[in-house]
Amino acid sequence: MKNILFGLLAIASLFACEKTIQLDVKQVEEILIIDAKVTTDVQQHVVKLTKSQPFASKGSSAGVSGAQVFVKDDANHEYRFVEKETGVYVSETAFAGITGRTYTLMVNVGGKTYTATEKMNKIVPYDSLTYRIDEEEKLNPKDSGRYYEALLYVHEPQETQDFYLFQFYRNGKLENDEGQTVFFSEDKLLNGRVDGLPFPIFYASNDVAKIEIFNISPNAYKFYSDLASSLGSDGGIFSGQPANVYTNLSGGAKGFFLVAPVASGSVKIDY
Amino acid sequence: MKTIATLVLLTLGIGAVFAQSPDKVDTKTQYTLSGYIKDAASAEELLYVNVWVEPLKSGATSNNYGFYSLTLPAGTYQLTYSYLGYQSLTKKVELNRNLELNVELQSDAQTLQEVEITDKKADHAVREVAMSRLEVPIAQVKKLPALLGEPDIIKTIQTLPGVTSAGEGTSSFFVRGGAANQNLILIDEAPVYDVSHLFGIFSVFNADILKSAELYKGGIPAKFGGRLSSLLEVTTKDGNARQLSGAGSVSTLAAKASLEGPIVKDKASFIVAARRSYVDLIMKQIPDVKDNSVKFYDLNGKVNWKINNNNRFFLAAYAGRDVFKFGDNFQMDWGNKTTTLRWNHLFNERLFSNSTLVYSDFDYALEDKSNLDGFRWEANQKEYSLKQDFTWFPNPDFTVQFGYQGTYRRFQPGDIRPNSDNTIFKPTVLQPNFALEHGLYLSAEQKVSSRLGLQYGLRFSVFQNMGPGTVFTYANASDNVNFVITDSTRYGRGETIVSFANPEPRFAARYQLNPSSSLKLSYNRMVQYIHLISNSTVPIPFNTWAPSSPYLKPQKADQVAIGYFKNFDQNTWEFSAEAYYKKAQQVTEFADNANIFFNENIATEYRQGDATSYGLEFFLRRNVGNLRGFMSYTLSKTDIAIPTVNDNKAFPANYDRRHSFNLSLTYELSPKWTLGGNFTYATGRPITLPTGKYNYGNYQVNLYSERNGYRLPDFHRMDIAATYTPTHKKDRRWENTWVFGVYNAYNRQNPFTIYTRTKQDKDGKIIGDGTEKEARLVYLFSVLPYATWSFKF
Repeated sequence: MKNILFGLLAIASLFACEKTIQLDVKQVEEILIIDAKVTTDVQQHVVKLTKSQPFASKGSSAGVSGAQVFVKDDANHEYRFVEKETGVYVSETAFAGITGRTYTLMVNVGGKTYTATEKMNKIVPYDSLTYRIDEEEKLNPKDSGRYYEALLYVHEPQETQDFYLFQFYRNGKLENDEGQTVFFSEDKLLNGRVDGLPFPIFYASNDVAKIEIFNISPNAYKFYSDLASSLGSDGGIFSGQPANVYTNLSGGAKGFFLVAPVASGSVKIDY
Repeated sequence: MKTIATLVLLTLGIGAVFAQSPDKVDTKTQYTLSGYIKDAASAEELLYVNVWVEPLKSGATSNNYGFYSLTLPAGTYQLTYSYLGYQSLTKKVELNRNLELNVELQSDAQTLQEVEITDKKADHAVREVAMSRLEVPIAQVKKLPALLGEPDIIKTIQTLPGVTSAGEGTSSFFVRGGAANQNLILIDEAPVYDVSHLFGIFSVFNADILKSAELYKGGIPAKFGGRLSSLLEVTTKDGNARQLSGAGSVSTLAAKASLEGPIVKDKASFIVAARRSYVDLIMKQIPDVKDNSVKFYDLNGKVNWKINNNNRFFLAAYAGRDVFKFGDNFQMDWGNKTTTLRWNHLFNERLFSNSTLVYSDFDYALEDKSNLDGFRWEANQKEYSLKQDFTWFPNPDFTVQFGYQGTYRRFQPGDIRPNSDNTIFKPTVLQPNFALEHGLYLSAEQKVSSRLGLQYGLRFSVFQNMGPGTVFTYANASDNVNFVITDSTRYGRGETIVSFANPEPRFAARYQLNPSSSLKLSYNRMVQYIHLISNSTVPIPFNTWAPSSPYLKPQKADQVAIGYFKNFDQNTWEFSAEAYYKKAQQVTEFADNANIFFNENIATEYRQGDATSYGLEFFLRRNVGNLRGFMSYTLSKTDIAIPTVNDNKAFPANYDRRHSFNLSLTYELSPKWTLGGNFTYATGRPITLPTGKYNYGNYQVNLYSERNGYRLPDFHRMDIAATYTPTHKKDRRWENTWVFGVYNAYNRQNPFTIYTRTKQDKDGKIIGDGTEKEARLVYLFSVLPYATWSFKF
């Protein structure tokens, strides 16, 4: 659908102008925002608690302190999270999520309880990563020196219905157009053969290209798909009516508790 | 199919009964006067012409094919034929046998001397029983200012009372609180599913070949059905049956040409027209966009063979397409194709029959030719329709219409095929849907007394969603994320999956207060069985349609309207005021952030609820003289309540505008110069704005508290135009016209939409740490001068 919007913009750009305006919207009550993730990596998993902010506010939202945060699985494990810095809670012990288990996040704060439950999917590994020069980009690179593209090779299992979230890194830094683009996909249109799909970003010589592939749940797919719609919304004239992004959290919080196996890999551009 | 056959037989059977020697019914002294009413220059039939009979003080109106029939006691009568823009004609008739009287009227424009307005019968709007019906003045539309110099009836329709638009540069219109997809738009009786070119900057209607355009906002005759809110009936010209003539124009972004003429003089004629935009040629000159191309075209053609008054055949076709190309690899295109084959037949002077076969097709395609993600995505909808309409004219005070319409539809919501060797895509086809729709109707127009006229009728509609197809049963169909499919049922070809039947009563009454004013009342129930899969304010060409099905109920609407109609100053001014209340049930909406594209479980995204609309409309029109035009004001409100959407709270419709005012005028300064002007004002349309935001990762996510809780700033704009027609030599038919105009004359930055993004500078570089967001107001057209050169011969 991005292409359609692109088309609309092409037409609009012939005539349209735009300007920044101040929105005169009413103040609404702040709500709790939960950004939590459990993956199959052995690590101290992180839960971030913040508050929503007025639309026009500047700077990141302050963290929410003093919460009780737990993750439980359906095999009687309970992981307690402790506040490492304001609003940032990490699991006391490092652990890895296990495929097939169901994880429940519980957050108690301000006398209210917020929960979310998600099941850990099976990992979908990639086959290999390579890289090459993109000749077209080399002629006129957008960022000087960056004209290498990293290529992904995967055999996507066709017997299961899967949903994916992709995260791309350049030298350890997450690249998602500074929070403006989401890379996600479902597999219903795919034939299972991904032979050299270029990463959406270019690399320079000696850069390290890294990808993380999360095999996410239908809930998470809905969350990321809504997120992408929200970020790409034109205000509802040709795109759908703007609406809140889906959440799997109960209790009136927004955000998401992501439980997903991650296949990650990196390649150094060794030219 | 059996049902269709039965209904057709039934309809034809009723026809046959009426066809049998009507003289037996009446006394010997009754005779019928009938015929077609035409334009004197082109022999083109004129629709809805008034025929007034003295001393009877009664009359008739020619139908939408130009035919009239009057059965009167033997005697001597004086008949007056009158039609807007034409000189009235009075004929004395000695009626002592059945008489065929074809009449030709002279257009005002064709007469050299100024016609004195003495026509007292041009009080059609007051006298006709129908209300909430507006004729689009096509001749005037051409003299009014037009966006980019291309006259467009849809843009004029958007300024009529009771009609709103979602903004300039769009071709959708919203009638009395109904969504854009609730308008039945017919070109020569064939439905057009997407009337927009270039996402709405132009509509598909080439003004040069249109004969008439009528918008019904309510009191819709029983003959028509299938949409909730309105009927736009567009008729193209049959083609000049007297002499070869042509027309064409070149405007800022498009050019068009048409040719019409006799095949056999007065018996058979043709018209062909073509229009093409040349945005693509201009884009090639602009370095930033030269790799992209945007164009559209329209082709219209019609031939007719009018053997005699008893048998007339018409074949009309339309095809139009938009093609957008981006770089070498990406293309998208879409368009409509329609064909109409029509046979008008007189079983006798009092029984008029129209048989029509209609084909309509809308399709779109998206194609990416790149090596790795190459695909071609197609979707289409085809419709085949058979219509059999009868009109029986037993006497001037009673007219009966009855008939049948059967429609077969095939919906292909999506078909994706890989088109390169290394592509990651596999062929995927969404299951097509099939449906049959039947409408059987009977209606009558009755003059109860000289003051009271009635129109009443019933349409009975039946809709069958049919196989082949597999229907899933959902345990929780309203959960669009974790739905559970509990069962699936396979239906064979032609097997009924689910069917719906609805009576649709229609009623209208007119009470004449005095010769120049009347009160009117109407009620109609409309049922719409097909649904547009769109959750935007303005539908886009990539929206598909779906039939009513186990998880999608038919949409229904009831509307009552009352009106006061008054003509002033010997019918030179027409005034009307109407109030309406409309309640629609099971209107189709979608879940928040619904996935409406290529979704095999689209049933889980459907949300249906109620829409309530009411309003007050005022209309003042001057039809004759140097100063012509109209003024409209509408006060209206439309609320929609959909369970689970917007926390179950009612919200204003996307196109709800409290106030709407329009003024469109043309003034003939001299035979050479005509001035035109538009002014439009409307309350800003509702919009959903973020009241907050939150962080997730490095994403800044908008937080919304209510749907359509805010409004865009008010919309207002003025356009002006001057039309210059140099005097042409009397012995030459060639006539040039120049139109010079300015769109948005005082350069108002009219809001189109508001979107939000991470705060950035004009080169797209993020300002600050990326946590700050900003709202951007988009406005489309700044002051836009244009020129159009047109010719005709």
